[in-house]
Amino acid sequence: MPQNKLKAIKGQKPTRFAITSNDLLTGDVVYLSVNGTWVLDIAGAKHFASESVAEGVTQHSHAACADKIVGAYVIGLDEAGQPISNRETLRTKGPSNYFHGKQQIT
Amino acid sequence: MYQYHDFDKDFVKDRVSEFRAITQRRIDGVLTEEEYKPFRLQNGLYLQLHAYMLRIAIPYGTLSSRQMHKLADIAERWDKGYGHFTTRQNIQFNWMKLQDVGDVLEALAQADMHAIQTSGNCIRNVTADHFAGAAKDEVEDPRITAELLRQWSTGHPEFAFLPRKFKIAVTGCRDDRAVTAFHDIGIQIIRNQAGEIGYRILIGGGLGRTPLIGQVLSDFVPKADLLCYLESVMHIYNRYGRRDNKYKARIKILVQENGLDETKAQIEAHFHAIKQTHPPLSQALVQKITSDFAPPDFTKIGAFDLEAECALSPSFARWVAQSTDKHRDDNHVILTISLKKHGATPGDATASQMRIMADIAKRYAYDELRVSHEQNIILPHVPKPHLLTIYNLLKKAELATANTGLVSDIIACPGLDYCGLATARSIPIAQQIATHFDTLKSEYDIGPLKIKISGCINACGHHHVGHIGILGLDRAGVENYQITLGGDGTQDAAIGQRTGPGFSFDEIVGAIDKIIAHYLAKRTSRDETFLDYYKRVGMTPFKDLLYHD
Ligand code: SF4
Repeated sequence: MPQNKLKAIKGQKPTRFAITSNDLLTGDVVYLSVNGTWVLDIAGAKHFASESVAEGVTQHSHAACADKIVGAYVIGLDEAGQPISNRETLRTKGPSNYFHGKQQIT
Repeated sequence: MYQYHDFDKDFVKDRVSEFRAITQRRIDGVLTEEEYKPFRLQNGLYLQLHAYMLRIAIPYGTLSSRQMHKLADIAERWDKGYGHFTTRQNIQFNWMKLQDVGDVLEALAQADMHAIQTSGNCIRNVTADHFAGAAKDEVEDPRITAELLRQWSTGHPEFAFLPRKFKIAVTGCRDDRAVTAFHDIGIQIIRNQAGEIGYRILIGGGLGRTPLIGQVLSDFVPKADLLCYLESVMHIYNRYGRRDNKYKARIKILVQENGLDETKAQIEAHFHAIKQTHPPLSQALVQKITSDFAPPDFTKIGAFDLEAECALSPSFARWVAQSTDKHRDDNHVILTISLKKHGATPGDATASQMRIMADIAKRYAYDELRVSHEQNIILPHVPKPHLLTIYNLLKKAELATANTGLVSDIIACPGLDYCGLATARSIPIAQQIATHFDTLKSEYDIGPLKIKISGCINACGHHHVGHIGILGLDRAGVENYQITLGGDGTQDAAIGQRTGPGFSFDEIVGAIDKIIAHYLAKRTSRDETFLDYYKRVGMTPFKDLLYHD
């Protein structure tokens, strides 16, 4: 079954941050990894303790990879390294009406 | 049906080559995303949450079986085997890859289709009554006017960078199925007292964050003046429409801020100034378009006793009762194919379903299909003797759900499952409501009821004009759903009123159930529809039951 229940908690604040984008050619959701590459799985995302540091890295890595990705931005994560927003949770897996997107692969 | 001429073919072919060349420059890193984005959007290519989405124009919602087959081929070859029919009579593919889009556009061009002007601040795909050419009370087929407007507005340099997008809808009937009162311009084809055909023009309607009902700009514009008149509207909008704030840039805000009288005076002054020098409408062109939309020869079908056939099968009879409308010819019906099987995603059709509908249209229904803004497919001219065969074919394809116009025939935008602008999901709410009332087996008892759901304030799901509207919002990170009641997109246009605070994802189906249970318990008879009941009793009892019980 595709995911249906979203687990966002009202007013939850992020404890760490990651950088996400979409791959230019495929449109796939990608995350900036520790070694500076863009990976499909959020488990491989580099974590930042500070949002402002992540913002700075976003601008730098976006400029460096502008021919490979579209529009990098910072997302908030919880303790387990999962996004706190519904939007980003859906982006990690895929839509709730079909078993499509990343949930199809994993 | 309108056929592309050499001009159209060359135009679309050139756009495909241009798209390929410019996209390659983006892939090669010559263009930045900032430079490329406006271009891809002008060709209907969005980047959504999970992938690129391509929005393809279906002018005035009309498709031939060949075109529907082409959409099926695209779904299968380049997407995930399905397409999503939208509330603007378009189709969207949710899983495109950038390097494939040139091939997709080329495939579309082979079937006289494209994705031009399905995004951006231009005149978008002109929509029309989905019963055009078939409705009994029609003054004239609105697609003739819509096609004229398509030709006039496509690639028009003056309309390429408007303050904001611009939507036009046309109807030829008094019964407004095209939601004309909620468009930037709504056009109703009418006959005046002298018997001449012309246009009643509404201006400044719209949904979104500022829902407004269109106001009458002109009671009667003669046919010959239409393009000159609309050019004057566009001129005033281009000149005075706000460009400083995107939320105030639609023409409805210009009309609201300046008032109808002043806007009208400006438009008419411009109209009179350019009228003498404006090129006259080519009668040869109008005649050519009119002949393209000439109705099929209905006289070949003789009288048929459909009632007798219905008497043999209750399920067929129910489907006929729910899915067909009166046709201008007594031996035909207008058939609505529901894309709302209980629990399915509203408006989605698989490639094989598209092919089945296309084949049925070709074999039994004069090779014509329509997309309705209510996200269903219409066969506008169905001979009564073929209905049973069509029913059996549709049933095998899970396309014979007899729920048109009922509680499960829900309009829902893609919402947070796909859309980059969304604040909450729409699709699972629609699925759960449809399944809930199907389980209760109560939807025939409930009767006509339009539920419309949007995943954000932009209102692509038309929630403001739902008898029950649902608007998905984000409240401190969680999905929250506001309910509106009493909206109406027809000639009796009304904007739904909010019941009060919203409901959570887990509560919203229960809230809708309460509203409907109350209506069922309190209506005077089955003849009093939900909307009639709401108009009679107002909001108070609903507020009481939702918030005070
Ligand atoms: S209403 Fe909002 S969420 Fe729904 S399709 Fe439109 S922009 Fe997206």
